[in-house]
Amino acid sequence: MRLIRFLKAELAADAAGWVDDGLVSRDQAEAVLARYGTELGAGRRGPMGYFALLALGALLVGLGAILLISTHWHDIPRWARLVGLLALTGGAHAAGISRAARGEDAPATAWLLLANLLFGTSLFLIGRMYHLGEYFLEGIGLWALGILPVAWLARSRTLMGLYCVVGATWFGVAMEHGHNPWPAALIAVAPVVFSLRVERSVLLFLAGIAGFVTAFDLAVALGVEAAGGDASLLPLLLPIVAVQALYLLSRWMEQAGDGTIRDYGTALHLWAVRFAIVVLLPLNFVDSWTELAHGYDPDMWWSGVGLVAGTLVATAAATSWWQRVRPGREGWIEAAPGLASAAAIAAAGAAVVTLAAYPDAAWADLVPPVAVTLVLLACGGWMIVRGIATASTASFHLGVGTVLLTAVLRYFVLIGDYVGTAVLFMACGAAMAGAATYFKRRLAGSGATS
Amino acid sequence: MITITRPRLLGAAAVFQLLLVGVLLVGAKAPLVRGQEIVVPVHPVDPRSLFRGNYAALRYDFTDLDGPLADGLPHGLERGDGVYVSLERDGGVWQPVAAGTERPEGLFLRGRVEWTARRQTRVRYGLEAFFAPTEVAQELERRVRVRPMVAVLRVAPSGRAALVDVREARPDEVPAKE
Repeated sequence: MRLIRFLKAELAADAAGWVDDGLVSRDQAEAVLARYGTELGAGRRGPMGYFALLALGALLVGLGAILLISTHWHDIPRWARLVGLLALTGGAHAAGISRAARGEDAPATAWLLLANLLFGTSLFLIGRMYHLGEYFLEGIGLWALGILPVAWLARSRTLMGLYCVVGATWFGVAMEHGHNPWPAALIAVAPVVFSLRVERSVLLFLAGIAGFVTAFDLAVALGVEAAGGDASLLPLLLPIVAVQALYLLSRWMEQAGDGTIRDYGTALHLWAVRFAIVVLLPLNFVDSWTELAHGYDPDMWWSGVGLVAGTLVATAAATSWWQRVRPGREGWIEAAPGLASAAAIAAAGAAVVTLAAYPDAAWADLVPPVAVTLVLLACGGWMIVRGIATASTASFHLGVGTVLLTAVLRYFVLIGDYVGTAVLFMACGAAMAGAATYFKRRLAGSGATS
Repeated sequence: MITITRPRLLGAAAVFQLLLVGVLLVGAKAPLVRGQEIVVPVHPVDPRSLFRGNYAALRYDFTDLDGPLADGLPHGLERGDGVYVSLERDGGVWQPVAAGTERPEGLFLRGRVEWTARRQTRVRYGLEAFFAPTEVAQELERRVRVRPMVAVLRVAPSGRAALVDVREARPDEVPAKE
């Protein structure tokens, strides 16, 4: 039910139709919409369409300018090219500020978007004129740095979106060319704070969180390697730890008094679970673990054991926190995905260290993918049950999708030959049958007929 | 969509962008103003940058450090580590004579490790792209097949260098064959 909060405009538009058809009174419609933080008349789409077209126009003109500086400009003196471009940038800024002062929001945003694209174009022109390296990381970084204060002061989600795109580009280029991406974690903090403090935007909030987790994970892994440790397990373990942390954060936010924080919590909850599944699915393959184990330095066993132990301690702390917030059965249910992930990490980590020390222990090859498959099935079943219990269709469908996808993967990539995979399929079937039984009991309990 | 409560501050943010352009411009110009001009052999190929158009990607004799040049490099170099390469004049061109992680005397370039494999280390100096219109970049490619090419660099005392030009080598700039 909570997901309906993200469809406020559609709900407001439908409610206006109910009032027109005489199904509900205006007061009743207003009362229903107030529960979701919206009101009658909020569903009109006209201004948004006008704004979208203007913003897309500015984006295309700006991209055109970036392409234009790449062409045959060598007949024009360098200073003339640069001064011309800076004048255009300043002019677009002035037009944006003046339109905003007159209250013309959409044209103001479009002009400022164009100004910030032209600002990037000026940086690239300098990079081209002075042949500043192949990848020009500093130019992309300066572009993001320049956009940020304008987006913040204009309170513009569109400009903050451009900042995110430029920041993500910086991260991609830095990773491709061997730079530690830790500044990207700082870059990603801005959209999170912006969406909490300046302008509400679930998309920017999630983009910032995802950027921070990814950059932080890789920065730590590269930092451990630079310090002489073996970080081969880190890029796998940290996302799982991060998912648990995000999941706990989301549940905490969903209990907040502030409606905006609750909405962010709901979105984060949904995406933390999706992220967990995306992280776990590739770990299903035997080859990825075998490769990892055979590249693992046995002398560095302590780093693997330390990481697994750290993950377990973090999970134990999270579980005990849940027990304090929600004692008893409910607390255990909330902590279940974290506990299952921790069990998989422990099993997989132990198998990797075992394989590194005893490369002939073929049985150890099977432990990590079997553990991950069982965790995916458990998570899928848990989401189905939770979806039914809380009437959350998103959770229900995600659970069904996870179980089906795991089964399909296992059908194509066998574990333990045919017999082993057959056993896993039976486990899948048992999970589905268990969920169906629970569903039937719920229906019987609520007095519905099936 | 947009809410401007402090238009003057927003104007200042726009001016801040101009300052950033200035910072980049000064950084790009510094080696050109303060640096010593040298000529080095170069080997171009032709890719395209998404933001800045066509360019000739340049490889130098000091791009891949191997053989005796790699002797001064310590084991365990990682991507991103700083490397210094000393250059000495050989006829009309400058050639790499030693590499290490300590700042040397004389004329040298400062770069960063891109990758290492066994006895070879690839280093980037920020001199690897020569931006030019498509036709010029393609012409460079054609000419390099028949004539040796050289790059004109300006090298600051810190080892930071700027690429000034890429052209055909003059007779005294063709390195002697070993």
